[in-house]
Amino acid sequence: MTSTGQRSCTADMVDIGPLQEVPERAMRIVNAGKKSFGVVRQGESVYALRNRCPHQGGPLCSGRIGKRIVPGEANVGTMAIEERTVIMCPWHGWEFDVSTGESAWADEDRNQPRQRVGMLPVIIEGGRVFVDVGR
Amino acid sequence: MYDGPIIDCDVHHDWPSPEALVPYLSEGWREHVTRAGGNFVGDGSKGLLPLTSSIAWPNPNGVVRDETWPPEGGMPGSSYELLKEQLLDGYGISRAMLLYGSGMGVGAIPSPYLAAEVARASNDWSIDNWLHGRDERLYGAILLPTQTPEIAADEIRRLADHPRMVQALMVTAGAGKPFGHPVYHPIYEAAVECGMPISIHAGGEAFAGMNMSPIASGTPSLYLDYHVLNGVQGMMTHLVSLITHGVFEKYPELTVILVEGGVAWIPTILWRFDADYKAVRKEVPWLKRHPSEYFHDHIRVTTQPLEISPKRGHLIDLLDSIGGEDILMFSSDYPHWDTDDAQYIRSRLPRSWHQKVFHDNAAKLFGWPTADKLEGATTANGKARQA
Repeated sequence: MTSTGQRSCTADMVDIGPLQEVPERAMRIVNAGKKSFGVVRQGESVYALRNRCPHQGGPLCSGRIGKRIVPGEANVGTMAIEERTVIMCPWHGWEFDVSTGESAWADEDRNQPRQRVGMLPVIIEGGRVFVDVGR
Repeated sequence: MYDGPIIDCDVHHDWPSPEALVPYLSEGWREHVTRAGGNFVGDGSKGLLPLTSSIAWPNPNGVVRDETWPPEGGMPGSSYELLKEQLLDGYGISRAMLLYGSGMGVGAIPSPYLAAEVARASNDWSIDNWLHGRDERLYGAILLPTQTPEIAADEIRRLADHPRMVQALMVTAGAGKPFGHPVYHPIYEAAVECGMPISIHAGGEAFAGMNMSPIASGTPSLYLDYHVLNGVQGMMTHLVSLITHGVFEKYPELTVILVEGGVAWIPTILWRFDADYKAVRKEVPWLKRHPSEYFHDHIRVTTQPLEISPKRGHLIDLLDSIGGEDILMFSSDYPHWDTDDAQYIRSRLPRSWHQKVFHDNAAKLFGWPTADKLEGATTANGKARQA
């Protein structure tokens, strides 16, 4: 998630840098102490995902990013894309919505803990991006 | 022990001899198939008879039970009196699905034109000889020429109003693709339109004329190779294909019955299928649910040949993992050699499953009363059951 405002940075806040330098089509992997996470920008929002796939612990944030593929209007046999951006784990191909951490497949399963990637809070302050690794 | 009514979802009725089908052909086809010399078919038939091909891997013991040969002659499954005595009365079968014997090979006939004619003739023969009211326990399936799915769809529409035709039957993948492929979708469209389930009977890849191996990785050498693998491998392919091609997204009212393909492999294939789906979902974005969910809602499976695990509980645990209580439907496979005895199957499945597996799962699918709503239903020991 992304929030903006005057919140002061704490020791747990990692300074990612200027907003416009956060990539949109790839994850930038950040290692802060024992925490490894990836950040990606979607317009004026930035999201931070744990660099650990909930499936088998793969390095999720080194995976490819793209739009979620959905069926076209005729459904079976057709393809279209939706606005949601997903990242695909390089180990087994599981996809997750970068803005929510939810898995990209069937709706019913999205909230199962092992099928959702952990998200870290993001704050944008003064044109710079900070990720809260204290949670 | 369950002594309620039994619905048998796989019974093989047959014509006494291939000649019995000839009067049901059109005049032109009759002339064509009878005005020819012998064709080395081995049974003395003349012309192009028998019209349907046989399994290319013969059973060294014979594919039918010895005592099912009618004393008056003819193929096993061709005598109503014997079928009544040995199966309907003998097992207390309250409803039996007649799924053809020799006719099952129609999908392997090389000529799609002849196949369409044989399927039509077979269905008319079945209605005239078995489904004309001689026994209220008998129900039929519309045999489909899968080489030509549009014609098969027309055949469903032609016969769907017959009160005894309650499903359609696919055996050989006549179009050379697994049954989920879009080429077959006209069949499913017609089935849904007519409110009919589809049965897929195992073994269709082994009929002479298909020119394909009935098993993966090469041609079997022995009947044993063939029989252990064919029903299972072929059915795996059809099941996976039906789901990946979105048949149940496209036809959400469709139910498909897997007949004689075994059951113990299904849980592990579904586990693998669900896992792979998560990995490559973007290839099939039209799937809205996990494959195992489509399976549970749209697939029913007949019991024979029920795999026998070393410990009874092993099989039950496996089947329980896919809701076996709700998806299994009893079948005997009469008069074939590997018939499952109803009494034996009772001993292998939990008592709490019996009413559903032997009766209610099929009854619900075909729109018949469940066992507890039947009056005086025939029981397994032949006695009238009080509701």
